Amino acid sequence: MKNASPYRIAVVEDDPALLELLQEELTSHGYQVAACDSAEALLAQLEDLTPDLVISDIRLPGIDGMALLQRLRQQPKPPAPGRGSPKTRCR
Amino acid sequence: VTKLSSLLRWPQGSLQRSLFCYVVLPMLLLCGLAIRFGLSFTHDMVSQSLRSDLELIGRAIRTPVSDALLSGDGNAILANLESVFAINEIYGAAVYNTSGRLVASTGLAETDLTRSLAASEAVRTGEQQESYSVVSGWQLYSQFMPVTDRSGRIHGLLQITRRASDFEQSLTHLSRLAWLSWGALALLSFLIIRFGHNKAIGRYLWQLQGSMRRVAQGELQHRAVLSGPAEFQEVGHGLNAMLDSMQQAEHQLRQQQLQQQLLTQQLKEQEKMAVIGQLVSGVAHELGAPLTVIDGRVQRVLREHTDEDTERQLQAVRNQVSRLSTLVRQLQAFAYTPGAQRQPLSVAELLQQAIHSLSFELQAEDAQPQLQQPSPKVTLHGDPGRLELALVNLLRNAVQAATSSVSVQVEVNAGELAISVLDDGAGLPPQFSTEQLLSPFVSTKAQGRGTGLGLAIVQQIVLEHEGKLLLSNRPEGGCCVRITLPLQAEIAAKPEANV
Repeated sequence: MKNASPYRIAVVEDDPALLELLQEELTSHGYQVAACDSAEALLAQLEDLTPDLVISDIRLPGIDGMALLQRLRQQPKPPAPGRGSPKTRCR
Repeated sequence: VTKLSSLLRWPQGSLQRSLFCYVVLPMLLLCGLAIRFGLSFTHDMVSQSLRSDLELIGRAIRTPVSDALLSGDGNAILANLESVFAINEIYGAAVYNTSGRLVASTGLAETDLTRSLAASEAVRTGEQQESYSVVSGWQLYSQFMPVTDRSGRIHGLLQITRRASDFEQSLTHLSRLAWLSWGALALLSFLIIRFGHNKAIGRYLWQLQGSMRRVAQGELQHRAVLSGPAEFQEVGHGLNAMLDSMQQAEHQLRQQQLQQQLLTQQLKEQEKMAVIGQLVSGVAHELGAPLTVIDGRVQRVLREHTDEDTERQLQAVRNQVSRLSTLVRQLQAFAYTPGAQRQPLSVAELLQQAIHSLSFELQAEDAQPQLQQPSPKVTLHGDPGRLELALVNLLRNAVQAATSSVSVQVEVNAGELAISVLDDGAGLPPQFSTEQLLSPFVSTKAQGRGTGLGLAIVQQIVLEHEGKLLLSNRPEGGCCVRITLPLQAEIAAKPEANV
């Protein structure tokens, strides 16, 4: 594990092998990673997670990546003192 | 004999027969009637004139005979009677007393008129009478005329005779001549109809019939020869026009059928491609994720193990994974379903972008694609991602094939944009047809260097944009790939910033 980062990253990917790889890779770079196997799973625990970055597949069962992006943009910005504004980015 | 029998063979309902029955026969009948009435009129006329001849003679000798009779001078009577022979065809003359006893006669005459009705009638009425009788085997026509003295008293009877057949002979002769002529006329009419019809109508009719028979037997290219009277030429012309329009209609029908077949075939092909596309797209997507995972895992291991042999081995794995990933990307590009991604595009920008995208793949020794002249300032309507992909594929092929240079030419003419990518390589391989080169999974590159999808994708993208793809060899060597795309309405006019 490299130097620990305070940033939280949520990864949304329905392929378990890819999800695991991304989680391992990001964790190895010191990020706190929340792995979600669907957009619904992320939205359900969004308030607890308050991720700084969301990495999502576009093709997802149920709510897809583009719809998830719309939903996230509608979220009120969470108070994140000292961490700058949250960013979302899709794969 | 055959000629005669064919002459007499006159099939029921034939034109000749109709002509004969409805034209010639009525004319012949009219002629017959005219002859009949003419003869009867002539008969009357001739009889009348013969009768008046006899009457004139009778009147001429009646007075001298009467005088001689009154004076009882037998010689004078005879002399007067003989004077009738001055006229031809008089056979005899006789004088009788009122009771019918012969006084004097010359030539053929009866000897006793006591029982003759005509004679007593003439004496009784004082008017001339006529009668037929047979004397010494001669058929005679007699005219009886009363002989009167100056006070008008009848004191004798004058008879003048002619051979009765004389009247008829000339008439019979005439009528025989007339009817013979009529018969000859009928025969002549028959022959005229038989041969004249043949000359004027029959042969042209047969010609037309022959033409129709030939067409009916399937010789559809045959056309009637236009000859003979105007009516036949018109019929022939009509027949030809009918055949022409039938042929044209058939041609159109065949053309339509062919077109329909082609459309059906295209539709089937499209349906098949749609199914294959879905399959390929699904497979590619399913392959994509594991390949990413493999590559990611290998990268992680590579970071952690630095021993040289392991690194070499793992790098080889990555190369193969990359090859597979390229194939998957190209399959996805090939199986792409065009959506409503069209937007106005600057051709100059599009070309710059394509050259820029390719530049990441180029090695130092590769030929650099060169724009031969500044791009025309035109706007194209299309899907930018797809068009760029098509141009990148073309440029990549050209760079891989080129010996030293790759150039790009852009022209605008007649509402079409033409982009040509030229290289100076070996040209198109002669063993492949254009169709084969455009088919998926046909590659001329070394095994493992090409997927065989590049040109197939270009072809597909060009077709999505209603354009055309043309492959050719350049006369000076190398290959020219030309794509033409319709510019729609918004051509040139709008000036734009060149990038």
